[in-house]
Amino acid sequence: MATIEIRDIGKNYGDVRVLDGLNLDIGDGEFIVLLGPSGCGKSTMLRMIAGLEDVDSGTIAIGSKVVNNLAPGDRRVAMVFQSYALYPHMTVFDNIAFGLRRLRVPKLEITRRVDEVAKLLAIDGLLARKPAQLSGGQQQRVAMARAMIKTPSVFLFDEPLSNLDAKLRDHLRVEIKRLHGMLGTTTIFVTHDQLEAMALADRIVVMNGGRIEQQGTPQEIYHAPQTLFVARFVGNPTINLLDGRVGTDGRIEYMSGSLDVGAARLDGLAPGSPLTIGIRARDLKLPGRLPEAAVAGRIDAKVELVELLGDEAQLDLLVGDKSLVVLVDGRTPPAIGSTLSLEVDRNALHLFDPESGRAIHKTGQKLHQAA
Amino acid sequence: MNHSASPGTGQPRRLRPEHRRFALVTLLPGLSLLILLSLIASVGAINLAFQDRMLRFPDAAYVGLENFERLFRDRRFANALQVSAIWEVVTVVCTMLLAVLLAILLVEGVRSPRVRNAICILLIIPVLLPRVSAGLIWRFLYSPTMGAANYPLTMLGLPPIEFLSDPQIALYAVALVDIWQWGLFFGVVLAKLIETLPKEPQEAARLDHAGTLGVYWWVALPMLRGPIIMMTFVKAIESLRSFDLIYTMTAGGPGISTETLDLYAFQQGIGISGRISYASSLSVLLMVMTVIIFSILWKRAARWAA
Amino acid sequence: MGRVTLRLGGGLLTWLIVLLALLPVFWTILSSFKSLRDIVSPIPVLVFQPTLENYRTVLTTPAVRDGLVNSIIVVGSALLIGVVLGVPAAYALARFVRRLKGDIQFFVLSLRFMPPVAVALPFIALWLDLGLYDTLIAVIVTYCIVTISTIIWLGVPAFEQVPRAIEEAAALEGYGPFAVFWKVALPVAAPSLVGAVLFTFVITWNELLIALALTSRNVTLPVVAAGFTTLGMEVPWGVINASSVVLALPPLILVGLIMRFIDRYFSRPAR
Repeated sequence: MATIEIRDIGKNYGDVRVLDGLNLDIGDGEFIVLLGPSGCGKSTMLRMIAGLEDVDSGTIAIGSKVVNNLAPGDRRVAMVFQSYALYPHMTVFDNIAFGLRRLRVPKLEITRRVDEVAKLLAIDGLLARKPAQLSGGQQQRVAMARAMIKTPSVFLFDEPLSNLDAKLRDHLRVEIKRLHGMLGTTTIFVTHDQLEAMALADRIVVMNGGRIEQQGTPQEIYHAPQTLFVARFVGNPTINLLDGRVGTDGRIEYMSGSLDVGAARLDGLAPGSPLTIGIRARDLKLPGRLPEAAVAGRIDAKVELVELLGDEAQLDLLVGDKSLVVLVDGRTPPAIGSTLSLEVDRNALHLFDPESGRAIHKTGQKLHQAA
Repeated sequence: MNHSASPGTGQPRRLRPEHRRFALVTLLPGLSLLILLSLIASVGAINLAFQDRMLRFPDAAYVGLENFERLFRDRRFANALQVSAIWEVVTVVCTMLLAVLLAILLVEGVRSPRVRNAICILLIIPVLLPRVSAGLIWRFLYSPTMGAANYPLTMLGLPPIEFLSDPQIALYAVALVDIWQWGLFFGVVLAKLIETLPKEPQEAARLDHAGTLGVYWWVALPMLRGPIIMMTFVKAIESLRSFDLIYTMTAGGPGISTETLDLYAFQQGIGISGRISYASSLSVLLMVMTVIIFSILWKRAARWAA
Repeated sequence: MGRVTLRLGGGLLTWLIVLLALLPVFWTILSSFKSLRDIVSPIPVLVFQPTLENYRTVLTTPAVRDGLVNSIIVVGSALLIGVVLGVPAAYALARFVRRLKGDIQFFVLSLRFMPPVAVALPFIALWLDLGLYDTLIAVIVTYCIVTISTIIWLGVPAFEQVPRAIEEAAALEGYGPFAVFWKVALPVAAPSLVGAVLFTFVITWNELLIALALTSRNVTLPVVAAGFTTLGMEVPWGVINASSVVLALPPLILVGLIMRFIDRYFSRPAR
């Protein structure tokens, strides 16, 4: 069990600064997900914690002990790789036992512990096989067994599910969550998949361009994105963004109308200053679905396309020359070509400063709690 | 090397007639020439081995197994057999050891891919040298009076080593040249192969408490088992071609201390004695041995390597 | 930290090996520009008056010039025959032979197992009987065993790398097998094939035993160079060094190219 403190770590590849003075504290037993697009530095950070990459500046401490100069094997961390990274020439048993053998653990104990871990991951029937004879899902279980058997203080997962098909991915995700609940080991999980992040994390750390954009619980990240980047990166379908301006009396003007968000929300902003309005696809409602008090305004839009997704239908709408995406009940979707007057939920509006990309929050409205 | 049959696209489908024709037209000339020449070589050698032909005279008579009987009483043949065996073992083992060590050094010690590539180019120079050139170069180096190999010794006031005229040393001194040529080359090849390995299993091993050399021993080298077995096999075949180097450097001397089988066969059949039939009986034995041993080894190696 | 030590130590050791590995070559090249007096000096001479005398001697020796011409003719012809017969055969093997493919490849490889002396002896007898002993034609034909088999052996994987789909696309355009081979497969496989040809060139250029056995006057360059050492009592080391360099020059000029093919051949993901 261990806490992790990361202080001002930086990393360069040649002239490229991949990590730019990053700080992060991770509590004992916490499940942290590093989320971000490829190239944001999340994997590099994970590999630096593992000791697979040198730290150019700053310190990394595991269990309050600085590990910058410790070999990977001496950090009490275990890692699960995207490519599984099994030793292809060894049987499953030997793969799992490899680390214990290097530590000269007695044979009998190795056998006992391998059996134990294998049972836990339901791979006890596969111990004599070689990795090439296993399916992707089985291989990843073996990789997890190999990591678990070392009883590490920290688990590191580097996009462990992205090589698997969707069904297996869901399945193993649940499994990882279950194992974490059981073992309570501090875990850092890297992914670019926001669904995975939402489902697994105690806390999500969104990274972009070698910096941390925002960290918080999945709810905070989803419902209170602090930057445009986070708002756009998290959420499916992607959040709708409209350009607008600060009007008078707590109103925001956008191209074809205005939204009443309340004066408090716009406090301190000069009328006429530009804004970016973010509205998630589920927060635009068909007429009559919101209590009148919650309606900030209405947007008239024409239905261009209807995609049935099952329970829901995704509508592609046009407002002037701007397209919006809205999710509505899939049983009675509006017809293509019809015009809708969509109601905007005041409490679900996200406002950003287009210049800095930062969210505009006012006290009292900072965190909208999910209904 | 283990080229599996074509993937996908209708494997069991019959060949179309125009493809059959194409295959026939292109394969027939080359293959029939090869088969003809190899038949001449093998049948010709066997035929000669049962005669008493001398190089100087065109006539010959069949003498049955006489050449082979003489061969088994020939102590120079026994010596050549022993020299060949030592040569084979020493050059193959040392080449592979040098190759493995050098490959690890190249990958671990030289970080910049550019520099590494430049070094690799330099290191394959020796294997490209004609064996005659390599032999001459090292004869010059080994020279007791002016050879660079002896400078360090003479500088310290020690007597020079007679690398090529000491029967105890000569074979190993020549073997060193072979190892110099092939070990460096295979080291470069192995370094290239290590570079192509996926990095993750090696990183996993580092997290699993393996040291740098441990990672190679437990993971990287076993992952290259197939290519390493193949390289050992190729080297074992190439080591049979010791003639050029030994002929240039010692011509079998001093005495017969570096006389390998092919050198002895050459001396008997083509050198001064010109007893081509006797030499043929030797070379037939050599051929049968190598073709049988290496055919078996090849099938085995292919299986091990899989 | 062990890793860092290994890295530093490894770096130094690597350079030491490079130095030691190249010293013989460097020393020979240096000495080929020395006069005999500087060569036989018991203390290594690094600063000296360079002379081209050795090269003049080597290149004006008729035996060397004839050897060079013979080598070029022999290696060039054997290589040409090897390419003409071997490359299409390799393509057919890679694409149109199924049941016998393994056996043919093994036969071709097994020619590599044959001890050269076992090849040389019966061919001496053959060429003597045919009255072709000591002719270039005899050497060329004998060398064809090496060139054809090596080019087939290395050519098959070169053609197997060509994506089948582009050949099939060409066939759909109405190309016959010859046109597909000539216009599609050959150009695509060409870079790898050049490597096979270079490799075969180096093997045949460097060959000594068969040339030595099959000729007495019409000898190739390796035979000439090997013969220098047995000249008289005083060993002409300057001339020997110069002739080593001249003999080694053609393969060495190709070193950069050959490296590129080693890269191409081995830097693919290992099976």
